[in-house]
Amino acid sequence: MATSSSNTNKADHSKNPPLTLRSSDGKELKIFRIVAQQSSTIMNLLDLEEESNTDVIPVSEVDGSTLEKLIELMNNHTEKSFNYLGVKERKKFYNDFFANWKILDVLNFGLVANYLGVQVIFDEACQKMADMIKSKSVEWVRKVFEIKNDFTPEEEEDLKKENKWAYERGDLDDGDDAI
Amino acid sequence: MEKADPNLHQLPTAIIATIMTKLDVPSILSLASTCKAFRCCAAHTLSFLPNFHLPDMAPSADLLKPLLPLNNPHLRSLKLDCTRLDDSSLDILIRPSLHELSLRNCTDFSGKLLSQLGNNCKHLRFLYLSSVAEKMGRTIDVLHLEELLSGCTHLETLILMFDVSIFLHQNFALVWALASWKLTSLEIGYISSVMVAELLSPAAGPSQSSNHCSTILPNLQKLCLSVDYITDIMVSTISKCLASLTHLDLRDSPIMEPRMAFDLTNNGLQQINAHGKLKHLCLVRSQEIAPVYFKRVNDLGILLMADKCSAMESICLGGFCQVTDTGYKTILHSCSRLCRLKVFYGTHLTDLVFHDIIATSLSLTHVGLRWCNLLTNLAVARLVSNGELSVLDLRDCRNLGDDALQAISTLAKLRSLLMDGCDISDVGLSYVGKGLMSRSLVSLSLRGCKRLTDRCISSLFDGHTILELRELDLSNLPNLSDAGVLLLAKSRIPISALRLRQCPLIGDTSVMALASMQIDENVWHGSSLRLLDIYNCGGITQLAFRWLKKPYFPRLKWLGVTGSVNRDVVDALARSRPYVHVATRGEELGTDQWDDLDGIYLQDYEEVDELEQWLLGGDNMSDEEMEDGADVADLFE
Repeated sequence: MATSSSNTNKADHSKNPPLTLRSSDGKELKIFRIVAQQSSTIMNLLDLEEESNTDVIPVSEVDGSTLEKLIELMNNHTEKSFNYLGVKERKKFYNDFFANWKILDVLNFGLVANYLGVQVIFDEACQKMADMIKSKSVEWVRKVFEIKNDFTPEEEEDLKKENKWAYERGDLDDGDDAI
Repeated sequence: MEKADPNLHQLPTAIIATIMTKLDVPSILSLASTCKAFRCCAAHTLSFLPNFHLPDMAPSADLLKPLLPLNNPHLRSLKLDCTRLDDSSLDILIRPSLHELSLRNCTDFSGKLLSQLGNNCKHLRFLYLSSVAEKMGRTIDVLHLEELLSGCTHLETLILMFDVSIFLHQNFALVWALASWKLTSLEIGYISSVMVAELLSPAAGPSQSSNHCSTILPNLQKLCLSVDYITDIMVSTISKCLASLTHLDLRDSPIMEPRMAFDLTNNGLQQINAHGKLKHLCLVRSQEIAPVYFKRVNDLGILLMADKCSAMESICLGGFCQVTDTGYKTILHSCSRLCRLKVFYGTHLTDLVFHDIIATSLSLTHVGLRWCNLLTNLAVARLVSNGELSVLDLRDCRNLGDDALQAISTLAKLRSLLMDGCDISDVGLSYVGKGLMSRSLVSLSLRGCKRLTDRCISSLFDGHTILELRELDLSNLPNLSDAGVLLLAKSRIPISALRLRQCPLIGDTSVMALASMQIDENVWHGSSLRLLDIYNCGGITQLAFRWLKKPYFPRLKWLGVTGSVNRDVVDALARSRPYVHVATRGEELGTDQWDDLDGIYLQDYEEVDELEQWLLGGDNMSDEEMEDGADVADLFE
């Protein structure tokens, strides 16, 4: 269930019943309209459906647990106190939210945010991924994201020579946490 | 959670690009080397990247060109080390979209750099230039400055770290009149006090009336100058003419005793803060070149000054050898908002100053008391009633000992502690290892605390509470041996700066131990060190250099070794690691305001570093070194 942590939210939306989103694995989650406004995709889907009958919006690309987390974050955004957070505090907030996440989960989360058109959350997920990728080695990135090296050996040599100084910063490949 | 099906490789370019825009340039290039799609994306990202900062290395023109494509109209912030660049790179550097530009070591550029900036970078808000045209044969004159000042009409901060007296010209004041009226911060690397007075209050005629102020730099809030002599005339001219001044920083380093007319006296001090807006004041006379002090200022001057300075938040006084407890106490009691207090060469400063500091409502965060030899542990015990203390510099206070450390260890927010030359022993450091302070401490300096032995390392790290420590200075410790460094390596604290200068017992084993440092239980990391100074360590031989080569010390950026021994090996090392700054003549290795590093633990250091670096310039040359016959000229570099 969507968690709405402040009573004021509930009071505001007594007139507007919450929407229901159905995930790819059949989970049904509630989200208030005002919170859902952050997602351009949901808004578009709403316009397409007739208002009255179906309040259930199928979000077939997204699984239940990711959707739940996303709705939680969107709820946080609509709380008044959130807007008053300073830059450092916002950073801490997102750091705490993404603490101990594996990078592929952050990626998945970012993709979902992108699909649902929630720009702010997409941006923060990319920031988290950037923080995790920073100063990792080329080999690490290839391994974690299963990227195929499609350079020819000559190209690889040239690249190594050109960008050697960038690698020189050293590898902090903590294999455990991020993968 | 489900494993993500699409991996990064198949993602739309937009996502890869978004991630890349949040990365630093070296990371972007690293990513670019993984596969063709990423390389394409990186090239694309570089064409709209707004911030380009390369703090760690000095790129050549060839390396720089592909990284700063000319078709990037969004470039707003550029920070570079221009050691390897010259006028031929001007087209890469001069971008009309720039708001912020920091170019250091521009020795090979001519004054054209300034004029082109003035002509093309109309939106510039922040400009930092250091060492412009210092190489022989590069021309620069006041016309270049004129074009810069008249062209950059939105300039808010201007920092010129070089000798501005090259611009000496009869129109000097007029040129500065052209400066943007938005200029709020000005910092100059070197200028004569006569030029300063002239600039702010051009002499109308033979009668030198300092009451006439032109409207030059009307909105200036911050002024930082390194001058030849701090004089009454200069100080009173500055105070009268700059009505918005909140931050004043004046330093000099005279080559000889100044005459009365060219010195700061009680009268000059009285003039400070004429407009009542001053919040930060720094007046320092350094003994870098000659043992010269503010001999004409005594308690009366301080009293008169403190009278007007009740709103001050930061005060730094260096070289006021005639000021006694009365003067310093007045400051503490008059300035109720004081957060930062620094005193260098407080020769008469005693414990009495801090005797009733609890009674004041002060909440000091940065305290520096250097070369205050009359201070004892009692003073420190009183001082620590300021629980918010974050930086504490007690270097060269010879009478401070272990009891002081015991008091200090109760400070829960202390991030930086400097105790060079204090009379502390291993016992004192055990207090540090066990106290509240251990959890917050990031930087610790114990240079020259000669009683310390290897046991101090175990005292510090055995409790496993001192986890945030990143900078450690253990230089000039005659009893510190390889065993101590081994203990340090075993502690697995990811130290990033370690200084072991002039330790006679430190040898190759230490280097090997540091090279093999493991941080995590499972994975071989290699050392986390970015700075290692083993200059003049007694036991370093050629063997150590094998452990300084790659792949050891992968993150190393600064290395200090003795160049005169093993000359060939040192040269070979420097060649094989071109992006490591190798110092061979005993120069101090620096983190300067550029080294953002991880940004996490350098946040509080802005004020400490600049001044400390400047003062450290000649101060660390001990008597022994001078007797070694070091070239005298080296001291002034």
